[in-house]
Amino acid sequence: MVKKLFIVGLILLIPGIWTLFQALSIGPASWALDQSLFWGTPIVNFVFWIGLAHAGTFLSAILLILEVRFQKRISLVAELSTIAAILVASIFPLIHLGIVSRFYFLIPFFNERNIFANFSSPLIWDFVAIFVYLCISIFYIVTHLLSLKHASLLKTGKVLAWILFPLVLWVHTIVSLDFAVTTNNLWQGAYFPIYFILGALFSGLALVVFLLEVQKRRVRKIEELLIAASWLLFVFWIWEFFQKGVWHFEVVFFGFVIVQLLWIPVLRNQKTIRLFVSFAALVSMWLERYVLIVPSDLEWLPVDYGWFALGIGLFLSVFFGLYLLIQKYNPIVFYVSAEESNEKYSKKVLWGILAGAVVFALLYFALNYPLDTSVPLMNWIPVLFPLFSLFAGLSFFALGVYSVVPKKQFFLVSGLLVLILGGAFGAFYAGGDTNLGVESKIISVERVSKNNRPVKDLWASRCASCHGLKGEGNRKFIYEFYPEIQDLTLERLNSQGEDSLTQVVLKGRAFMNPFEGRVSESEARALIRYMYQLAEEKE
Amino acid sequence: MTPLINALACLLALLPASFLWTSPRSIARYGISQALILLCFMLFTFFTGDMEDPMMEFYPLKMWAFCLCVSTLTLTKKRTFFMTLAQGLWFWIVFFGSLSLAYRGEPVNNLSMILLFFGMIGVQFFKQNPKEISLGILIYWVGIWMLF
Repeated sequence: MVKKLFIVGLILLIPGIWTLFQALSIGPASWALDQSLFWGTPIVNFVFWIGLAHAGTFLSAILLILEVRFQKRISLVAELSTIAAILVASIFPLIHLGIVSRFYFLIPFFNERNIFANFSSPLIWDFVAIFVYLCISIFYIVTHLLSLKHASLLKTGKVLAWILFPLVLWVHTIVSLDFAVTTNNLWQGAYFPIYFILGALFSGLALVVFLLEVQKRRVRKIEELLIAASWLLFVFWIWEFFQKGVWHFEVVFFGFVIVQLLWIPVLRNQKTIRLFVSFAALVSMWLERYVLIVPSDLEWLPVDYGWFALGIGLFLSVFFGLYLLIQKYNPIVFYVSAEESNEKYSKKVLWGILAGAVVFALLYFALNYPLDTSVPLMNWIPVLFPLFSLFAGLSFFALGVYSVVPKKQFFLVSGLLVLILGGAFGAFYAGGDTNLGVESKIISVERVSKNNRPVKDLWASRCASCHGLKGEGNRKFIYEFYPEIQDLTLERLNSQGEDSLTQVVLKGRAFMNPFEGRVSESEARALIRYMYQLAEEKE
Repeated sequence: MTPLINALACLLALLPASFLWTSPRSIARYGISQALILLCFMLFTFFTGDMEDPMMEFYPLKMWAFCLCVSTLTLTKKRTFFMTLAQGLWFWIVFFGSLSLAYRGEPVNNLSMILLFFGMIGVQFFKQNPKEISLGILIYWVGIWMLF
C-alpha cells in the first residue's frame, strides 16, 4: 500500500507540475480571481495544507509534553506528515506572489540594499513563521531518529517539543491574522486565532488517522480526539453563524455529521468507515477554507483543479518517499521508541540559551525598527517569536547533536551546511537584476502630446492600481502584495530628483516593477511631473 | 456589556468549573462537554451582549478560558502545569483577539494581558497550593475578569 501510494503520488505530480508551470508562466490570470475575491484557490490550498502540517507537532510534541502514552506509537508518522505538508503549503504563497522569482524580497534582511521588508505585510509573517516551523520540525524529527540510538538526546527532543508547542499554535494564529489585516469584513473575527488552530488540529488528526490506516495501524485515542475536535469545531461554526449569519451545510455535514459515525462500534471497527470518516473530515476542512476565502461563485480554470494534483501528488511523494527511505535503513523504526532517560539540561545551559534567544530577537528588532519607524509595533509581533524560536531551537539541536556524533563529523557537516546556507542567503541578499531586459526605447517627449494622451490617463492606467488615483496608495491592493507606499510629498520627490525617479519608473526598484517597454522615457518623465503636481495639490 | 452582565458571565463561567474533571470520561466525552459549555457561553453572550461591540467576538472564548483556569484548582495532579496552560490559553485568546481588533483600529486593553502574563509566571512559585493560596489565585482571576 505504501509503495502504491508513493507511485500514485508520482503519477499525480505530472498534472501537478503542469499546473505549476501554467501558474508560474501565466501568473494570477491562470486561476479564478476577480476584483473582490483576490486571494483565490492558492490561498485556500495554503491554509488547508498548513493546517495539516499541525498534526505532526500536535501529536508528537504537545502530547510528549503532556506525557500521553499513545504519543510514542504515532509520533514518527505524524512528524513526517508535518514535513511533507509544510513543503506543500509553502508552494502556494510563492505562487500567490505573482512574481515568484523575487520571493527573496520576503526575507526580512536589513535595509542595506534598499529593499526594506514590510513588517505590515502578512506575506512576511507567513514566510518567517513557515520557514522557522519547517526548520524546527526538521530538527525535531532528526533528534527523534537519533534518539533511538542515543537516549541522551531525549532531553533535546523534549526541549524542542517545548519550543514547538507555542510555535505550532503561533503559525496558525499568524495565518488567521493574515485575514485580520484585510479590509474584507467576512475575514475579520477576533475569535479566528482559536478557530483556526482548532480547524488545523481537526484536519491534522484526520490526516493521521488516514495515514495510520494506510499502514494497517489504528490508535483509538486519535479517533476519539477527532470526535472531540469535531464537536468543538461545530460550536465555532454556530458562533460564526451568530456573528455573520454564515452557515454552510456541506461543511457541517462532512466535518461533523459524518464524524459522528465513529460513535457506533459496528461502523467504527470497519477500516473502510474509518478511512471514509477521515477523508470526509479532510474534505470538510478544505471546503471550510474555500467558502471562507471564495464566498461567491467563481468559474474555475484548469489550474484551480490542478492544485489538487499538485498538493496531493507532492504530499504523497514526499511523505511515502521519506517513509520508504527511513524504513530501508531501519525497518522497525516506526514501531519502536527510545529508551527512557531522565537526563536534563543544566539550568545554566537552559536559561543561557533562552536568554540568548531573547537577546537575538530583541537585537533584530532594535536594528530594524529605526529603519522605518512608521511600522506599528504590533506588526512586529508576528515575526519576533519565530526568530526567538529559531535561535533557541538551533542552539539546542546543535548542542544535542554535538554531544552524540563524532566531533570531526559534526564540524564537517555543520561547516558544509553553513557554507551552503550562507551562500544561498548571500545570493538572496545580493538579489537579482530588477530590469526585465527590454532595451530602452527612447522616444521624443512629443509622444505624450502627439498621441494626445493626457498624462492623467496614463497614470490611471499604469500607476493608479498600486499608487492610487491621487497618489494616496491603493491600500487594498498594496496591503496584500507589497510594502506600504511612502507618503507622496514634495520633500520626498525633491530628495530623489526627476532623473532618478524616471529611472525608477523605467528600471524598477525594490517592489516597483520596471515599466521599460510599457512606457517610454518621455512618458515616464511626464508621470514624474504629474506626481509633483499631485504632491503640490495634496500640500 | 454592563458590569452586571459581566458579573453574571463570571458566575456562569464559575458554575461548570468545579465538576469539569471530577468523573473520568473518554476523550470524546470530554470534548463534547467542553463544546457544550462553550456553546452555553456563546448563547449567553449572544443574548445578553451588545453584538455590535467587537469585544464580544471573543467574549465566550474568554469565559471558556476563565472556566478552564478555575477548573484547574480542582486538580490533584500537575496542577501548576495545567494552571499555566489554562492561563496561557486565556492570554492567547485575549492577546491575539485584541491584536486582530487592533489591526482594525479598535483600542486594546493591555493591562489584562500583562496581569495574565504575570499570573502565568506567578503560579510557578506556588508549587504546593494550600487552600489559602488557591483562594488567592481564584480572587486574582476573578479580579482580572471583573476589572478588565
